[in-house]
Amino acid sequence: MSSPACERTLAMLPLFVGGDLDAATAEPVRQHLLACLRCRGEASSLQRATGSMRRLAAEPAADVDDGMFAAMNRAIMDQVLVTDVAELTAATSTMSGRRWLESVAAVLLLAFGFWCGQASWQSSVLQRAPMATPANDGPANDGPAIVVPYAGPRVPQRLLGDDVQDGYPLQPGDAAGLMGRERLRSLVDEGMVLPARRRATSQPPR
Amino acid sequence: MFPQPAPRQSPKQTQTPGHELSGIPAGLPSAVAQLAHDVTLSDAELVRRTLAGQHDPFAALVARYQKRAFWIAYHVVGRVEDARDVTQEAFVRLFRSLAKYDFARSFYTWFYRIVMNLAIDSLRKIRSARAGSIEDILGGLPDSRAVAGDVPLERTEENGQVWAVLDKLDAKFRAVLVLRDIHGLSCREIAPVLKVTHATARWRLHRGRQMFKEHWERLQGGPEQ
Repeated sequence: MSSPACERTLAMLPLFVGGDLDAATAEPVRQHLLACLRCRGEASSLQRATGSMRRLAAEPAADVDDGMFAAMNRAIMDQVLVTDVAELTAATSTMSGRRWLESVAAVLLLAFGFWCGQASWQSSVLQRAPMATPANDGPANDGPAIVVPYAGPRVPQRLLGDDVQDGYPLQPGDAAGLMGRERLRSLVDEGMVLPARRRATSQPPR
Repeated sequence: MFPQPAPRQSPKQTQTPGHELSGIPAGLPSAVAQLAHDVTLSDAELVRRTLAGQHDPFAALVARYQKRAFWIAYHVVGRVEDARDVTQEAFVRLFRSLAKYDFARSFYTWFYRIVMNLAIDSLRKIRSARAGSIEDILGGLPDSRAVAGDVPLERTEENGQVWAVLDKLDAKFRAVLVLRDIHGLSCREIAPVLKVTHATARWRLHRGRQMFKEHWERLQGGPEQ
């Protein structure tokens, strides 16, 4: 059964054995290892494994010597010489030109975005007048022009008790402040407005 | 005795008794060797001169870094031919992207990143090509890596086991272990090379060492006492 101190130490051991803990963090680990045989065994095991890996640095490889490196240097330079240095410096100037173009594009984009923001602020939905659509597409009749306001999201505010719309009292089913379909139907029923189809057929020939 | 933490090593101090992981190879043209040995000439200055149209400064950069690049690639990939290809490709890419070099940043971090990316890509290609091959199915064949020089047999055997364990690790853990434990870079230096945060580099090192130990013990027939 491991104690919390053992668990804390074991969690730090991989970094402790490699010397990757600062002195303040490493000291409690060192003190615990002095007292705990089990954790010390674990640390030794970790250190042996890490040490074996470190010894790989000293392992020579076949055919790797200064001659190979000199040949590699020549091979790299041969490949590099294909790319002319002038080409490289041209790439530098092309890159600076591209950066300049990117900067100009970014400024233009920002200006456009700012302008769009201003325009949309000025013509926001709240400030827009309610749209109106003609009641029909047929020829004008003799009566007053009937306009059905667009029942859009914007509803004109009216005072409490103000239940008159265009001189007509609003009915309970009417859309507040707008001439809704029910109101229009009641006007048709009263004969004050002719529906578009009936009006088109009932007009006297001229 | 409980273990003593290993001393920290900077990448430029890495020297091993068997061979050099860094250093300038012999047999170069004298002008290139002179530039490569000149400690007053920084890497950034060599880059500037290359961009100004000279070739020798770039050959000097190659001379300064080719050993380190090769050994890093070798320890990640595990094969001399592949490591040589990775190193050459890394220098060619370096040359083509010299114009993008940020002079405010460390040159070797930038270059090591190119090497490491190519090495990890190469390792993944090798693994995917090897998946399902007879060596993997049999599993018990001796390691085919050739070793030069007077290396004791038991050491060669141990190194073979280390390679076998490294082969089992995921590329991202292997990369951290190679850079930290074999090449002596600190976690602060490893983080920008692998393009991760310092905390991620430490976590990968922690997890990588743990996994290495587990595989190592399994290979040696259970936990050592």
